[in-house]
Amino acid sequence: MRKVDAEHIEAITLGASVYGTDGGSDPDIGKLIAMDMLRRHGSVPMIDVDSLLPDDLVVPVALVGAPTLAIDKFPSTQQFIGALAALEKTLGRKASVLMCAEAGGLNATLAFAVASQVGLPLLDGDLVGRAWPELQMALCDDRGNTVVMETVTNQHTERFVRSLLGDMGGSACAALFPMTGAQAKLAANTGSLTKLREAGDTILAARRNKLGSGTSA
Amino acid sequence: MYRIGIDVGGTNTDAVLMDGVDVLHAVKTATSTDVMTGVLAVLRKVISGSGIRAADLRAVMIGTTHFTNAITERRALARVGVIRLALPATQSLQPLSGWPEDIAAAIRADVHIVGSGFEFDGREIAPVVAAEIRAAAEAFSANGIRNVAISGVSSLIDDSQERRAARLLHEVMPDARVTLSSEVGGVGLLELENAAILNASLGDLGHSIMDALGNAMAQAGIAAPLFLTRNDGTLMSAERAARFPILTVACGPTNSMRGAAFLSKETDAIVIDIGGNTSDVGVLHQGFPRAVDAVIDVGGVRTNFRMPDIRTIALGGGTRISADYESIGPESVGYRLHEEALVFGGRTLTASDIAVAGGLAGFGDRDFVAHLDRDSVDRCITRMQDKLAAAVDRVRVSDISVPLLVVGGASALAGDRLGGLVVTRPPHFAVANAVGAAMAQASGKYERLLDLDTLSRGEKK
Repeated sequence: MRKVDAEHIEAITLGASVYGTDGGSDPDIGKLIAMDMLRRHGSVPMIDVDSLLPDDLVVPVALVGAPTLAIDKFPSTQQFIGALAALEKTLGRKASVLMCAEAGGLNATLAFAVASQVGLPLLDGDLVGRAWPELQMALCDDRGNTVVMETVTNQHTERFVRSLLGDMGGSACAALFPMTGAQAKLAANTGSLTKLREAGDTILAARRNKLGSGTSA
Repeated sequence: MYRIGIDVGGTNTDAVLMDGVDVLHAVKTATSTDVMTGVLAVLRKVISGSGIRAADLRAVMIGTTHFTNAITERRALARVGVIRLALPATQSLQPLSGWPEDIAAAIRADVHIVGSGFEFDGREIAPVVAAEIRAAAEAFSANGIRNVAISGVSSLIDDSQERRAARLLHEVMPDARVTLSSEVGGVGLLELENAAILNASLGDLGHSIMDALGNAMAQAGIAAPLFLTRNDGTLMSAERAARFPILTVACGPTNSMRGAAFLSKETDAIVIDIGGNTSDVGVLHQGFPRAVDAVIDVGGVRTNFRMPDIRTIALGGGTRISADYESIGPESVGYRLHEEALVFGGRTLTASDIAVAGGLAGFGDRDFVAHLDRDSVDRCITRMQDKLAAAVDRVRVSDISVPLLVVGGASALAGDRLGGLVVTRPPHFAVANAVGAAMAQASGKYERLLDLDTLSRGEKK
């Protein structure tokens, strides 16, 4: 288990920019939100899949919708809390571990912000490239409206979400695809958050040592 | 068509008289601490030196670093009132999030986030509540604030709420200077808002500088219109410049590069402008400065202006050199070069002195630097040129050889070759920035968001 503090977010954001490969909106917005949250609510414990208990409830969180709009009407962690609460109510259980849905772009840094505020550990991993076992999704917009969907196929989730997002203002905060600890061990793309931080640390060290061409004048 | 282009830099104020595309006359004078004295001096010099009559002038264009410097030096910035039209959204990032502490402290913003804003498709999130705007205005008045920035979610799509808020504010504060984020442009709420806040903080300085420039024009007997150059190399009227001083940021490097392109007739080149305090390196691509695509930070604050991709290093004609020749800057004597440098009878060892002692330049009095140790001088020159070469290297994206244009008053520092590229100094290289200002053109921008769902087929075409 490692503790992630506000000062680690800079490296994680750089890594998220690299791994985001220009998608996933602007990680800097997530950086500002995450650093603010970590300063106010404290560090985030980051845990490996191996530490998961079989009956943990692992809930990924993500901003869904148009990335360009997220830099205008930026998301608030309050919306994630709303989405999480709606999902927990449907499932009749509380989340014990949060998870990042995609380790790149804005969603990487947002996951830390949410974990800090709700006080839950964050799994070192993400969902990219994986098929997930459950298809419940709870969405929460900036006015506190929540919508919980339980669909039979991924394609249905996709279609319903796209219809809803327009009315919600282009993007919404989601708690989605919950899984047990046992399922997460099989399904998660493990260690990806550590990879972000290592990439970011490498870049920062290179800048400090003035290796390569760098970007600061 | 006679026109005068002026560049007000950190050390020198340069002016050129142009007729069409011909440079008829060029002058340099030291930049004054107030703006007017130096500009008036250079206007008079260029008119008398060229023999034209003030009445024959069609326009005067000025590029100045005054506003950029005020921000980077945290100087002469006014207190700002901020109104963001956004609730219930955007509470996760307050206005001024991420601002360096010193500039946030310099402007001591009074921030009010109120309900309203627009969705991306133009639907109103909530209407502007007049009582909330009036309350903010009362608070600003009580705090003696008269410069206000108003930002709103999706204001570029629909600016009517920002304009309504401004009208309501003026009912309470008729003399307030208001900057709407939708007027300064860019994408992203924080960036737009930051640009508006920076502009508001320049409100007092903007008006006083434009008044001073207007006075200088009047005293020089010039009735022709005055324009200021913008960050993208185009012009804006004096009235607009007083209201939007933030738009002049980075006009200096843009003018140098455009001037260098025009004078050398090169369209693709690397350009170094070596001035009094700094050297700026940029790339010309098809006649225009290569622009930065990403978020631009102005004085450490995120914004979204289209600016040239410039690498700046603290090496210029006035850069202080330590007595043991080891330390090169970053401090500079700035506009006091003619009082402080050894070659001008002063007592401070500067890069200019090294250049003269090493035979790169011939201004001032060589006898005043005859005592400098020749080997140390040569080593110092090598180190200065290495710094320039490293900056050139950082802007190159391929190893294809391109012309290396060196302009600016201290261009002698570059020598004849830098990093394997041959140095070219175009005609009138010392005043390339003033030429760039004189060559700047009027421009306009038209942006509209179109809803493809509601347009008919014919309209879409």
